[in-house]
Amino acid sequence: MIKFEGVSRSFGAQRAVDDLSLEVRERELCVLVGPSGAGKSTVLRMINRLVEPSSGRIMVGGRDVRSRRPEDLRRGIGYVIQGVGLFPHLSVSDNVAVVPELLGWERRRVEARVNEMLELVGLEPGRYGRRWPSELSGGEAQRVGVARALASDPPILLMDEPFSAVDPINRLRLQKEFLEIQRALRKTVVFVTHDVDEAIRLADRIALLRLGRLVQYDAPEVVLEHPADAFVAGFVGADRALKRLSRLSVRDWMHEARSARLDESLSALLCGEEGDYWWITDESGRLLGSLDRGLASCHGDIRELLAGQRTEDMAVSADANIRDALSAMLGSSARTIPVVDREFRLLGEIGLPDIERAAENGRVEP
Amino acid sequence: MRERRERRPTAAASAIAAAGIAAAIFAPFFRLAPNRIVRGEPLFLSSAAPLLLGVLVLVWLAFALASGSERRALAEAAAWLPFLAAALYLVAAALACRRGAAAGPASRIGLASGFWLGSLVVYLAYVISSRRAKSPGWIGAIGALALLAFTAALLLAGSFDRLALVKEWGAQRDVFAAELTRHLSLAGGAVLAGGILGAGIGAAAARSRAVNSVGFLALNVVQTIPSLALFGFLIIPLAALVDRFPTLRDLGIGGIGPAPALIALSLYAALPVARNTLAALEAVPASVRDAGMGMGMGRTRLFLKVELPLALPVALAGLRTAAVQAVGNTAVAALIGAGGLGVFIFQGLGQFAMDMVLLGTLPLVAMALLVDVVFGALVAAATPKAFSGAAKAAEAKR
Repeated sequence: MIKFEGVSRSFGAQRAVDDLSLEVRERELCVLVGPSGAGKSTVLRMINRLVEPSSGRIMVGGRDVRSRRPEDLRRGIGYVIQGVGLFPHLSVSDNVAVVPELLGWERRRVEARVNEMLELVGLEPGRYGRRWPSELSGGEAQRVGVARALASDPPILLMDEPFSAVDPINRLRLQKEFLEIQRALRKTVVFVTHDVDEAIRLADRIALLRLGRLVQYDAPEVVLEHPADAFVAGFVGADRALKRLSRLSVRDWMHEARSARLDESLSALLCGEEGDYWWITDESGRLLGSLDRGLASCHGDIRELLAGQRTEDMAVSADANIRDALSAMLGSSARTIPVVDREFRLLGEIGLPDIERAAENGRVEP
Repeated sequence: MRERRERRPTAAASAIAAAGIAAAIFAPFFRLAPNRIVRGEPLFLSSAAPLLLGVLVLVWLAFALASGSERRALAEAAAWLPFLAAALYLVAAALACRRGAAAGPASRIGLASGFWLGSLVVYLAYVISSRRAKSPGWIGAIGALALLAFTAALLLAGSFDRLALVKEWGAQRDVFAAELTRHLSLAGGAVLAGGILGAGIGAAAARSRAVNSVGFLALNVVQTIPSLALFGFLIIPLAALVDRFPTLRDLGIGGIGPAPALIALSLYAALPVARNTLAALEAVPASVRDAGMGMGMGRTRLFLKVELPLALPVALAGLRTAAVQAVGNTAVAALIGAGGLGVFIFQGLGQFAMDMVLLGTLPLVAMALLVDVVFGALVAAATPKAFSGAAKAAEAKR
């Protein structure tokens, strides 16, 4: 979809990008990551001709970008930047409508599309459409930025450190929401960041740049498992084994759990011979807590016992990654923790051996 | 913090209202002289028109109360009150003229300190309330135009015929009309030329460092030269130019006269416009430009759709300063034979004829105020809704 062929770019005597060859496949999310001065933004801005290469060729959708008028090229490529760059004198709706209007869509179609896009990024059109950019929080503004970039439904999206000006909590949320959007839309995305964690969280493939050169271009798992050189190993960090766990989903490594409903004759169950402990749920399957065999049988009020447990801190979502599960495990000093869905219904459990298995089997070949 | 900010205009408005009332009661409003030689007797509003004085006092009291109000309707009403007071002063002057008529055909009425103080207070009240009211631009513009129309109507109806000032005007009617036109065209031409020059320099300076340093150096140097000196400097090169190309003389260009005046006035007008244009363009965030370009806006479209709407109000504010300055500076141009209202001022000063000085000064002041008010309304109209009071109010409510 996007292909760099021996592309270099110099600013004065300095080489910002040095003989770069790189191909971003269709519908793939490629993250360009590297320290500042690595040339990430320059690479990105060459795709939509905001920067022209000094030498080499860039193909987008099989055509040399230089064969197209910059304005036309850019209208087919979504663009999100760190400072958002919303037009301060236009309402949120009018900001989102910019590219469709540039493309000459008719009014009603633009309106419908704007509302659709605002809903997509989680901003209610009725509440937000008529606001001014100055009335938005940083996270809201960046959502509008994403909506604006997607408005004309371009096949390609360029994102230049879009979330780095947002506070860490909101950044995580924006990343998560963006991943959901990406899963639904499957755009070809080139995403620039200097944040390795962000890269690992989002990328289908990571391109590591250093001083304008491509050092490694692989799936995050491969980069973490087999860093190309000492620079990459240092850049992704000493905790790369842990980071690798963050790419693995709890859903893939959990197993079935022994559970019982509160309304069953629990005492008989708990006094039986089977298992060391039982997860207890209510009639709709929601997790209430755990009871050890033997212990509960002698003590009267089971409900009271369950109420004293801090189950919310212990349970992990099936959508969480293994690293989060490990963290929850360490936090609750339990060797096995329950896995729940969004409604807190028990789906299974995951234990330390599962995580070891995941770390072992999750390995990838270089 | 908030409370203090809200209370201050109330205190200022009260002080102004008190001054207005005091001036109306204690200062002589006009002088009545049986003929041109004698200085005349001071006359007070309290004896000449007690009923009108009462109304005036009420208006000032209402102004003091309303301008401190949090309620939008009252604050807006307070913005109208200075214009009402001004109209009352005009009516008082007309009443004085009727008394003068009774005193004999040779009698003259001169406006005295009470009228002038009152006018000053009216202006201050307008300034205060325009800063507070939610929509000062158009209230000021409409009020000023209405006041002007009212003055013209009274003047044409002959209500002011007994005023020494009006008699002076009557004697020089044709000259006055010619000089007023000349003044308007000089100042207007200078604002137009200076505005174009300034906007051009400002816009170019935003893109080029060289233009920025050279252009602003030149404009700043011009600004430091007193106007009279600048007129003088221009005499020599222009005279030399006309000597060289005599055809220019047929076009009315010469070392003295309107040509050097127009050049100098345009140069003065250029600086505020250039400065504001540059500041406005520089204030457009880089991310906004980047986003616009990245979304596929061309240079022209980016300028028309983004940069211009963002920069226009600030640039217009510069033009407002330039226009008010130009109106005043044009008065000095009379000294190099360019004409304009300055003619009356300098002639009157030379002959120690104060009424003639006033004949030049009063329209000058009115013109400057009117220009200020009209351009204020233009700035308000050009300001995008996102930055006007409405947006801020909505934000505060949220």
